[in-house]
Amino acid sequence: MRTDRETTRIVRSWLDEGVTALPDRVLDAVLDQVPATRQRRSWWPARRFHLMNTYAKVAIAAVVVIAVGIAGLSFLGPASPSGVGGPSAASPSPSPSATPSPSQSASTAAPPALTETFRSSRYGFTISYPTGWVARPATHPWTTNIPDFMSTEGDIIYDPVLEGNLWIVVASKPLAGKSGTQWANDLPDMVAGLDQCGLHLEPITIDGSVGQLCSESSAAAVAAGDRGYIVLLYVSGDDPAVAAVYDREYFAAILATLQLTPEEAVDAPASASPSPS
Amino acid sequence: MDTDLVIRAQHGDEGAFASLAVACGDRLHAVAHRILRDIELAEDATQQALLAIWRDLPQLRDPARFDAWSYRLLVRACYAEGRRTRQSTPHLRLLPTDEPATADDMGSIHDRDQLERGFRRLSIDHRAVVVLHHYLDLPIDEVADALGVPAGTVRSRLHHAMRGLRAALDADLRPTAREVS
Repeated sequence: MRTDRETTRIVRSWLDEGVTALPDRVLDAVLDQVPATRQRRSWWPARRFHLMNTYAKVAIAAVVVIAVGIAGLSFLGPASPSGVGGPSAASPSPSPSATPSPSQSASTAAPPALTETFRSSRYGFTISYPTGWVARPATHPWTTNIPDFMSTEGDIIYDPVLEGNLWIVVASKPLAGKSGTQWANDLPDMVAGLDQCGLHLEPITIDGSVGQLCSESSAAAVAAGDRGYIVLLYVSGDDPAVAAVYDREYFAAILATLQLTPEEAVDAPASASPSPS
Repeated sequence: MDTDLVIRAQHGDEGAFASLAVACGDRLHAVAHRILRDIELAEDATQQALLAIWRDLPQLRDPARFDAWSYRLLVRACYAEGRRTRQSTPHLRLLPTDEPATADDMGSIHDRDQLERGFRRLSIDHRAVVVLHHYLDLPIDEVADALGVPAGTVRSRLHHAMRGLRAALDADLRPTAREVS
């Protein structure tokens, strides 16, 4: 039986062995692709929208509305013979529009309808999600803090274009002696690795069970039967248009579709599959 | 890392990015190889990570955090490579047997083989924590920063991983060709 110190020494020595140099052909392949790879410009600090308080959001929204109004007035200009705001002689003809992809829908003002249903036999729930999103069931039981996008411990449903910038995670585990109230009140600690919960929690009813909702982000915890559930809608603040669409109201709409079936959950490996509703 | 290079690359300077890639490519590849335990997968993961770095660099708010941020993208790429090849067939590596081994050699070979087995049983989450902490010598809080998880999670993963590796080291020696799956 080795000591911790001895194990650490052996592991460090073992890790020091092996390759370090990146072959030139790999580097060349990367640099060859750079000119054709567009950078993702960020005009908004990541996640900032989540962390702003309500007053700041209202103030920014008001500024945007006024700016749009001023721009609109200057565009219309003085009244023309054909009437205020009337079509000009050379009005553009409508161009054919392509079928919207998930990323396109993310940038529109209207949130997408929750037309698909995911059923998790591992964690015991069903939930509706937007058309075109992809469900990636957990392959390992949830053992740590809230699973992030790359984790295999949460059922992840994500926008296939925005991927790690727009996704839902749901997971559950046995309460293990905690009361449902304790579970829900632990929400800020559970989401700490991913998002900030805000200054207080707000009670919310999910499928008949009372849980808690973060005041500043789209995360909720609830208990049903002998299991605690956590749900989070992660929206990167990189694109304020996306953050505006996938807001807490939209999260509430998602939560309204959540059906908790703790009796169906299994903590051993199990399969789960998305199924169209 | 030279923050001036990072800033120039953030603004689309491809030459600056090429210099960045040269400067950090070996380090990223070494980390990827130690997490994935496979040369080809490590090369693919490093390639994907470098492209992701170029693509997402404008979103890095603090250029001084480039190293930690690049590790996060690299670990994501390792996840992707790990998932892609999960169904691949395990392969065998025969250890050299043409020269008589001393007792120390045998112990060392046994340790390496057992570590390889034990490490491959860990999730990418756990492997990444071990590599960033014990190979790169990053303190716990910097590992947490790089992976975007709380320090407590890093400690927990590290404890679990090292317990698994110690158990692997203590396992019985099997003196024949060893499977590296």
